[in-house]
Amino acid sequence: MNKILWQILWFIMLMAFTSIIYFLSLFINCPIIIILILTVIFGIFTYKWLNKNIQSSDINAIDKRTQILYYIVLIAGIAIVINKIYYAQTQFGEWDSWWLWNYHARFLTHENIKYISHQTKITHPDYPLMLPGMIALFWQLFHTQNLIIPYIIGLFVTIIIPVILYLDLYKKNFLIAGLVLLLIATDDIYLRFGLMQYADIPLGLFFLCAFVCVQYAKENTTFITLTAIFLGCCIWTKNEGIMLSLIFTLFHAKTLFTNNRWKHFIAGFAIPLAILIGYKYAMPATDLIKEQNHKTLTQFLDWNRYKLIWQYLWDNINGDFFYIKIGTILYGIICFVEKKMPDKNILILLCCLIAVFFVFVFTTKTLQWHLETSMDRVLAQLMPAFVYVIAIQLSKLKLYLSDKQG
Amino acid sequence: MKSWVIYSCIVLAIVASVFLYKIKYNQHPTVLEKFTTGLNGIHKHLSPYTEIKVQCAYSDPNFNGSKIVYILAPVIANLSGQQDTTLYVFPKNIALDNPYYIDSKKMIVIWQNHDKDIDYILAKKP
Repeated sequence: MNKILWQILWFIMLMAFTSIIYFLSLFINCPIIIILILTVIFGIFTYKWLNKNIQSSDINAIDKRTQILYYIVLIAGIAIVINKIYYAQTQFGEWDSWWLWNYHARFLTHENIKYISHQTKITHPDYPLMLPGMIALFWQLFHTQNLIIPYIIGLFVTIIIPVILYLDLYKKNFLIAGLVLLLIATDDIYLRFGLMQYADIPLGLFFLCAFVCVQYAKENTTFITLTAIFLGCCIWTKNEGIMLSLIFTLFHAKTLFTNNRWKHFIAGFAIPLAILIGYKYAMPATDLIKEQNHKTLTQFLDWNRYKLIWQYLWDNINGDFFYIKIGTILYGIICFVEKKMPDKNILILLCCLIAVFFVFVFTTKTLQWHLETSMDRVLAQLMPAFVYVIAIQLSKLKLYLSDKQG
Repeated sequence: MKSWVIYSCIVLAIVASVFLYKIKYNQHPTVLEKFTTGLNGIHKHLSPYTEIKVQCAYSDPNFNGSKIVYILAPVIANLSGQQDTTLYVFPKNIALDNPYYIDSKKMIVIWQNHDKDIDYILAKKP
């Protein structure tokens, strides 16, 4: 892995740590300065730990002209993002941001923490608090509740996803890396979701980081801890993150747990898991579990629900996320020609889609409303990881063709 | 790649976007005032018992697809003479069930509207 990429991953990890430590500090009324000191200590410690354990790839091995080309593409991608953001942004985010995520953040301030149990059913008190924690921390720090803070957090996440994809892919296949960067930079749907100030794209970022880290986990156990940290971030960002992390962990169990590697995994996963369990114990159960009743079996056997969910899923994939379909078809062709099984990471994402499908089957809300409001956001959560996994596979195409010609 | 080039790009992108955000929204009202667009300044022209429609920002179909809040004119008429009063409309379940909201905004609830099964609050600052 190149140095810039692990430094970016370190920074994202630091942001997540700050949110968690801030949330914990509220229960002992800890001054903000203590949190900042803890963050600095954690930052220095983890930076040294990563610097010592990760062998950065040698950038100087690339000739200068190629390096300049890499820069030009990256700068062009970021410039397009800035231009598009101007049109895609909304001042206060959208519905869920102001009545849910930013609203929860208001409870996560020292003077309002006593009200946290007063959150009504309608504002989903069971939702994990990674994003509200980040927002509340900066609000406390600057003694304001200015809505520019959630905007900047959303902006950072929106910009950093294509940068991570590019930085990890450019050495594998520059053409694919450039295409992925420009594809996301020009994707109005992605930019809109990113700037809605929802937790979906942050969840997508953490899930993407887990996929990036696990690629290097076989050679270096440091990446197992990093993968676990990002999976921990997923479960503390959204309830869907619990499901995605579980599927991911099951598929990568061999890499993550065998040969005493489980210790590294626990080191990264234990704290977010403990916080989530404690929080879930204190707060009401999530709607999907709490509201199940005698109709559950009827819903499970209702074929019309399956048809409706499939129709929404298919429409969304063909509309907003058409490139996932094209990439998957291309990859399917490669698998067919090479006569091999699809990659494990592709299977993880397909399993995530199936799991999401069944969440809709069992939902206690009005199905059509739930599909209209959530299907596209769920796909947006998976999109960065999907693009990354497919791009990695397509990157191998060049090598495959070279072998054939050879 | 040189780290500083990448970091500069990211930081510049964020700074530029925030700058553009500030320019774009500089003249716009605050979040709660956004919901009262249409209320301010029109009450002078209303006769009593006329229903006025306030275009609201709520478009969530979970709330029966309602986008309109109906407010009776007398409520508005009572406020005549208070030309500078800004009224705030927001859902009751958010406003009242959470003590934080009323506390922090220092609002006075002046009227509640029952729109199907959604309760709205009309409030003003003291």
